[in-house]
Amino acid sequence: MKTAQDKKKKAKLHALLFGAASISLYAAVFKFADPMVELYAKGGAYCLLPVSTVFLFSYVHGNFASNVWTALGIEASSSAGRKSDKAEKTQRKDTRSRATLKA
Amino acid sequence: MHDVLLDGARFVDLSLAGVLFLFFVGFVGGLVSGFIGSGGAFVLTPGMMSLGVPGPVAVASNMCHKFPKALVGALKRYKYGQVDIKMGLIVGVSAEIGVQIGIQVQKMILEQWGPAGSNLYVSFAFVFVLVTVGSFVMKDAINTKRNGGEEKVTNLAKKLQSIELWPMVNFKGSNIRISFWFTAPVGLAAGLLAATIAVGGFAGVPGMIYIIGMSSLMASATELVVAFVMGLGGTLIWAFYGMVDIRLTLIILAGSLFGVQLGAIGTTYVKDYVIKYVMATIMLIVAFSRGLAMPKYLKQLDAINWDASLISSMSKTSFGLMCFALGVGAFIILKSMVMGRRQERKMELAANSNA
Repeated sequence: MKTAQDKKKKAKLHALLFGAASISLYAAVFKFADPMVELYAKGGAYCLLPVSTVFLFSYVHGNFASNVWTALGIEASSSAGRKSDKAEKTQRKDTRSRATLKA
Repeated sequence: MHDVLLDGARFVDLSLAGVLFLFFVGFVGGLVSGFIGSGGAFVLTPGMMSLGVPGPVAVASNMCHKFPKALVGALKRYKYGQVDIKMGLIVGVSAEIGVQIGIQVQKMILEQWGPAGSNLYVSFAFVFVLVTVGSFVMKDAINTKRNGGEEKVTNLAKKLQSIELWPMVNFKGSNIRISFWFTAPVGLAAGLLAATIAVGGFAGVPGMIYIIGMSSLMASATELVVAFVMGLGGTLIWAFYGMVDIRLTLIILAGSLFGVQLGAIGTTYVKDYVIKYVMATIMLIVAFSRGLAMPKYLKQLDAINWDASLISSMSKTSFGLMCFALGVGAFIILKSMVMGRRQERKMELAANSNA
């Protein structure tokens, strides 16, 4: 079973890796900012460029941010998910009308 | 839009202060979005415009950061079992239709009364919708807290759920069975509001709570799916016209991806009614702020003749109040989160000492 310390250690490593990747991506964007802005503003089929770029950044930078919070010990409550489990176990009253046979 | 397209200077030079401002507002906006499902846009768009970014570019760049932020937030909250994907998709697609209707209404008003009339309409919609819905949500949050903090499904939602109107849809995530015809109007209203004031969640989340019957926790998390669907569709349209300034988008995204995950974590430490509190507080402050901006547009329409310096200071106060609304929301979230964590640790320590 993983201890909290192991989890933090793994998160630190991932934060470093994704952090390095994120910084590289941001550095690349700002190094080539002018041609990039021009290319992305061409419109038409080029509209896929900003969309795919933000997907890439949300994966890399999103993982970086997530691991930073975990490495800092800021995590969800241990009861997270239990509320929804409780909701799933509570059966909803079936209000549908049924065909009945009077014999 | 065509004029802006032809203008070579539509992409501004960014200063370090501007970059830091966008990163910070992105973070706070993300924190609020991760917690209540929406918010941030009402400060980000005018904030970018104050840096000299033209309106359409500010709206487009903001929207382009909104959908990946919503995606990351939705994934995080899905892990906590708070997202109803099916509901999010249905409401999201209906909201797309609402956005298109909202754009047509805006166009009609713009043609009829010009830019000042359009701005006045937006401000009036802000004040009317946010005061009405915000007061209702605030009253409900206070009552829920007084009654022990447990949320109850509204009578309206119970009634609508009992009506068998084809097609009935089963939402396993939120354990609700309701007709499609009662979920679609919620999406339409959210879309209409999004096209008018850029924050559809102020109609979408209360709609999912009070009309469909979801809990605040589920509704605010599901709103992130709605925001993803709406944001992706909107971005493709804006990007088609070349309006996205990718630098602005990525700077805001850098801050908001930290914020949205923190906000999502925060929801696991609070009771459902706290989400309503935060949302209602922000809505009411923003409504007041937009009320202060209305005399400017009334003067442009020659409807009032107030002193120009007074109107100018009212407009500045209006923007300051919007930032304040976001700050207050972030403060309540962080405070609730710290208190929740402290309480959980105390309970863990007590349980360990008993063992």
